[in-house]
Amino acid sequence: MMTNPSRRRFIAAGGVGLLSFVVGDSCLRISPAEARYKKLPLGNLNATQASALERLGDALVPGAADSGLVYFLDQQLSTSTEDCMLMIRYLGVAPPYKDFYIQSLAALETACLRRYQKDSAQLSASQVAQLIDALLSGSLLDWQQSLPAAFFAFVLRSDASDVVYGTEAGFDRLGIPYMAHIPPPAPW
Amino acid sequence: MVLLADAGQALDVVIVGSGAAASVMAALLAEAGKSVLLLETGAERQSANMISSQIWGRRMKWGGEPVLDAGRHSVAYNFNMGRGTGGSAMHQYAVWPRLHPADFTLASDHGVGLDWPLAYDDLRLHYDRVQQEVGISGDAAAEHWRPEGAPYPMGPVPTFPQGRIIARGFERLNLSTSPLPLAINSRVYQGRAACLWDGWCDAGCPIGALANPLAVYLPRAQQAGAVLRHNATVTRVLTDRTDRRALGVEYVQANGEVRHQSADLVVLAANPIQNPRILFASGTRRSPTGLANSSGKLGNYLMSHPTVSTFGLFVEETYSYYGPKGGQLLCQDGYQKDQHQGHAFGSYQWMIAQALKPNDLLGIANSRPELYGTKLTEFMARAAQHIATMATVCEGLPMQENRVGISAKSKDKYGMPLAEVTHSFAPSSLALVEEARQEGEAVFRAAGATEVWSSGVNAMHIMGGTVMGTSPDASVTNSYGQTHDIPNLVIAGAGLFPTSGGVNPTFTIHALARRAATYLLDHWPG
Ligand SMILES: Cc1cc2nc3c(=O)[nH]c(=O)nc-3n(C[C@H](O)[C@H](O)[C@H](O)COP(=O)(O)OP(=O)(O)OC[C@H]3O[C@@H](n4cnc5c(N)ncnc54)[C@H](O)[C@@H]3O)c2cc1C
Ligand code: SF4
Repeated sequence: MMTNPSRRRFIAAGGVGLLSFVVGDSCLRISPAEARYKKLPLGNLNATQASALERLGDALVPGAADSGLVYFLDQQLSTSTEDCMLMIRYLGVAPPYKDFYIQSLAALETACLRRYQKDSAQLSASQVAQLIDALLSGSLLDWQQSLPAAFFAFVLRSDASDVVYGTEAGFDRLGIPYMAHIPPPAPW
Repeated sequence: MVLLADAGQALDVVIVGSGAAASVMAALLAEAGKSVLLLETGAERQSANMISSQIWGRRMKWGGEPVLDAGRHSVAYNFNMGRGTGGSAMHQYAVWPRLHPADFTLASDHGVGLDWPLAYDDLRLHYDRVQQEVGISGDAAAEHWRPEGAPYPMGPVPTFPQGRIIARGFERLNLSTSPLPLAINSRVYQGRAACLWDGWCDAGCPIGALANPLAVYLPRAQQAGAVLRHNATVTRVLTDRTDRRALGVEYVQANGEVRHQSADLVVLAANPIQNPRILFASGTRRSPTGLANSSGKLGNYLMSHPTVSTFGLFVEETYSYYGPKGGQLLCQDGYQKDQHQGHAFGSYQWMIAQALKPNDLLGIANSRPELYGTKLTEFMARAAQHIATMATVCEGLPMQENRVGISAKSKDKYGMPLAEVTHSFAPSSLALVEEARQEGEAVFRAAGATEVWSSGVNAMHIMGGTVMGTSPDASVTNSYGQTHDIPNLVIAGAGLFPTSGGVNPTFTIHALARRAATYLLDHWPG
C-alpha cells in the first residue's frame, strides 16, 4: 500500500554499525557494545564521569549503555560546534558543550554524596530511580548549576534516546522501517 | 586579522546568505544578466551530505556564533535557524500555505500590531509564479479558506493511516481538513524526483523532491553565473560618506582574512536576527544607532509563532513513520482573527499527521519527557505503531518591545558584537495557543484516541526585526525591502514581515523576494 520495500533498505535484525578506534598502531572496527566491554579509551570523559553517565543514561533509557552512550558523547564532545551532532547544540546552551556535561556530572556527584554518601555508580537501582525522580522534579538539593537539574536529565535522556532508538538498529528494534536515502556511516 | 583590499572587481549585486530569500534573489538577478556574488557564513553542503538520520541532520542547525536570549519566551534561534548552503531552508518541512488578505491589514482591521505596505493582491501573482517554478502539491478546491490564486501544479500528498485517523476527529467536531500544501513533489516535476514519503525532510531531502535552495533556485543562480562563496561571514555593510549609499560589504574568510566586496546593490538575506545585527554593527559616526535606522525601529517587532503539538495513542496502527515530516492535512478553520474565546486573538492552523521518528526534540521519546526506564521502553514499543500527532501554527502578535539588539559586552571571534534577543509572546497569542491546545485534544478524543496529551508552548519560525512599511519613521524598509535610508541596500526574508499570520513563512519569503527582484530590475538603484 504505502511503499515499495524493494526501494528501501531494511536492515537485518541485529545488524549494527561499527566504531573505529585507533589503539596503538592498529585501527579496530568494533560495535559500541564491544567497545564498552573492552573498556576502550575515552578522549574527553574520565572513568568516573563515564560510569555515572552509563548508570544514569541506562536507567533513563534502558539499553543506552550497550548502545554506546558514553562513546557517542565522548566522540561528539571532540567535534567543533558546527559539526556537533548532540541535541544540546540547539537547546540554547553556549558551547563548549563539554563544560555543560562535566559540570552537570560534578553537580550530580556532589548531590549523590550528600544524599546517599556514595557516588552515582554505586547506587542501587531504587536509589537511581529516586535520584532521577528528584532530577526531573527539580527537587534535588545542592544542585549547584545555573541550568536546572531537570534540564540535564532531559538532555541526557535525549542523548540516550538517540543511541537506543535513533539508529538503524533502534528503528529495527521498534519494528519500524528506516527507509534511508543516505544511511548513516556510523552506528549513530 | 589581515585586511586585504578588494581583490575582485565591483559587482552588480552582493547577497549576504544563501538561504530561501538569497537564492530567489540570486537566481532572478543573475538570470537578468546581473553579476551576483553570494556570501555564506556556513560551510558548503551538497545533497550527498544529507544523511538520513535525526542525529546527523543536526549539522544543518545554526552552530555559529551564539545569540543571547532574554525575555520570557525564547525564539529558539539555534533550533529554528540553519547555516551553510541553503540556510534554514535546507531542512525546512516545506509546508507552504499563503498568507490571507486579512494578515496584511491587522492594524487597520483590529487596531493591534501593524499593517503591511502591500496587499495580498500585490503578492498574488508572485505566489502563483513561485508555485509554478518550485512545484507545490495540494488541492486548492478542498482548501475552502484559501485566498484567490492559481490551482496547485501537482496533486496532493497521499493521506496515510495517521492522517485518516486524525481527520475523523475533525469531521466529528464539524471541522474541515484539506490536503496540506507542500513544496514537495507528489510526482516527478520539472525533472526533479517524486517524494518517497519516508519522513526524512528534517535531515534534508537529498533527492530533490523538496524545494530547498539546492533543488531549485541556487542551481538556477549558478547556471546564470552567480558565484557562491562559503565560510564568508559578512561583518559590515560599507557606505559612502553620507550613509545614504551602500558601497559593498566587509566579510571575513575562514582563515581570518578580511575582505571588501564592492557592489551596486547590497542584499541582506542573512536571517531576521543576523540582518539587524549586521546593520547595528555597521553603524558609523553619522549613524551611531546602526545603519538604516533613522526610524529607530531596527531590530523591533521580532516575532515567532507560538505552537503546541497534540499527541495521541490509537488502537489501530497509525504508520506514523510514513509521509512528509510537515504533515499530510491542513485545517485553517481557526483563521478568523477575532472569533476566539476570552481574549485569545489571531489566526491559527493545524498541520496534521506529521511523520514521526523515535528520537530528537520532536520525536516520539521526547513527546513524553517524564517517562523513563521500563515505562519508557513499554511506551516506545506501543507508540512506534500507534502514535499520531499534529502541530499548530498560531499567530504571534508584533510588539515593538520584542527586539534584536547587540551586546555591549560579548563579541564573536571577529570582534563583532553578539546579537541579543528579547522576546515574549503577547498574552492574547498565548491565549490563542491555549485554545488551539484544547481543540487539538478534543479532536484526538473525538478521533478515538485512548490517550491524549500535548507538548508545552514552543516558538516556531522567526520573523520581523526589519519590518517593512509605508512610513520611514515607523519601519525599516519599503514594500520591496529597500531600506528607507539607503535605496541600494535591500533586506530580504521573513525579517520584513510586519505581522506573522498563522501560516509558515517560506512561501511568502519566496513571493516577496520575487516581487523585490522584479521591481529592482526595473528600477535599478545602482
Ligand atoms: C526544522 C525547520 C522546519 C521548517 N519548516 C518550515 C515549513 O514547513 N514551512 C515554512 O514555510 N518554513 C519552515 N521553516 C522555516 C524556513 O526554513 C525559514 O523561514 C526560511 O529558511 C528563512 O529563509 P531566509 O532566507 O530568511 O533564511 P535562511 O534560509 O536561514 O538563510 C539565511 C542564510 O544566511 C546565512 N548568514 C547568516 N549570517 C550571515 C553572515 N553574517 N554572513 C553571511 N551569511 C550569513 C545563514 O548561514 C543562512 O545560510 C522551517 C525551519 C526549520 C528550522
Ligand atoms: S519525505 Fe519526501 S520530501 Fe521528505 S525527505 Fe523523504 S523524499 Fe524528501
